[in-house]
Order: sequence, then C-alpha cells, then structure tokens
Amino acid sequence: MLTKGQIQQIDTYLESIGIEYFDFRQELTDHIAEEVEQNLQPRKSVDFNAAFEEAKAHYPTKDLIEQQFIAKLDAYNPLKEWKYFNGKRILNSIAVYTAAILPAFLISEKNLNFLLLIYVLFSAIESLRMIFPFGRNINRPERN
Amino acid sequence: MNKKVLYKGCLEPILLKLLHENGRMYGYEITRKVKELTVGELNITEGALYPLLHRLEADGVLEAEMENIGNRVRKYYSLTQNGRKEKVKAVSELENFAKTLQLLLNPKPSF
Repeated sequence: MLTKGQIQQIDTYLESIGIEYFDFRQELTDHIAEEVEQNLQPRKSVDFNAAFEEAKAHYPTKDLIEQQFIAKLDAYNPLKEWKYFNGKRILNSIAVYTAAILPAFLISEKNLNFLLLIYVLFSAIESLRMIFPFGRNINRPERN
Repeated sequence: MNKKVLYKGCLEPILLKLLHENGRMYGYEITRKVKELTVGELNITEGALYPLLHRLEADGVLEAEMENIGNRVRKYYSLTQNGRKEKVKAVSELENFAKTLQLLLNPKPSF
C-alpha cells in the first residue's frame, strides 16, 4: 500500500502536466497508484520512484490531456439539460397552466379569494405529497 | 485492420456485462478483468475506458460512489436500474452483430 506522500507525488505529477480537473485527476491518481503497486509487488527490490517511472511511461501526457478534455465535456453538457424539455412536457405544462389560469377569468370578482384559497390548499397538499416519500427514501443512520 | 478499431464499438456492452456480473468495479479493476478474461487479447486503455465510464454516468446508465482506500479515494461504478435494461439491449445487439459476422465470414454453402 502506497504512503500518503507517494500518493501526493502522483497527484502533484498529474497536476504539473496540466490535469487540473479534480474529479478526473483523483480517478487517474488511483489508477496509476494501483499500477505502481502492481509494479512493486513481484519485484521487492524495485523502489517507488522506479515503479512510478515505469507506470508513467504508459500514460503519455498528450493522451491524458485529451482524456481530461473529454471527461470535462461528459461531466457537464448543457445541451443534455435541454433534452428534458421535449414536446410532450411542453404541451403538458401549457395545459396545466391554462387550466389553472382560466377559472380566474371565468368566475366573478368576489369569488377570486375563494379560488386563491383552493390554489393554496392544492399547492400545500401537492408539496406534502412530494416531501413525505422523499423523507422516507433517505437512509437514516441507526441509533445505538 | 487494427485490432483496437475492431473492438472499439464492443466496449460498451462488454463494460455493462462486466458490471452486471461483478456488481461494482473501479477503472483499473475493469482493465485488469478484461485483460484476464480475454487472456491478454483485449487491453482496454484508460483513454477509452474513462470517457466511456463518464459518458454512461452522465447518461444515467451507471452510478458512481467514492470510497477511501488506504491513502487515496477510489471511484466505484455500478449499473443503475436503467443501466440493467441497457445492458440486456447492448449485449443482445452485440450477439446479433457477432452472428451476422459469422454469416459473412463462414457462409453456409447453398445447394
């Protein structure tokens, strides 16, 4: 098992060659550390630096930078967020808002407060309906 | 033709199948397992593996969890519910592809 200092050495090396994206660097550090450990195991005479150099040779800087670029793209792509708004969802939203607003134009002015009360009650019930299942799904730590 | 090019399109079903069979795995473990199962024939490079893992995670096919291993952090990947469905589809497509290739490479003699 590599020491904290040796892990730090791998991490510092990756940062020095331009791997600044933390999530990717963390994963790569584990990958290279595992390879260094594999290099060290069968030949006890090989020291960490030699095993690290051997592992480094398998990871050309150019390839790592390219992977970092792809990893960043995959981690957050704003275009993917827009896929949520498909035709069916847009039509459903328009239908719900129309159904909610239409009564306000149709009923008399003195009944508007009553309509508002119905909306508030409906919103409260819907919010509670969403909050309670969410609370049940959270795994709480067991009490001693 | 380059062997890597031939295997490139098969990586996703291979990865999904491995995760289905092993529950959860981390990057280095996946590369070792594939090498071991194919007796060194297929060597997945991290250049092909990590972008694929990240894409599948972003698409909701895989979920990841971090764990402290000694002095470092390790990221484990496993299939989501959607991923299990995706695995069945991907493996079936790969099997059909293999069958089609067999038909092309070893056509049955017609009489």
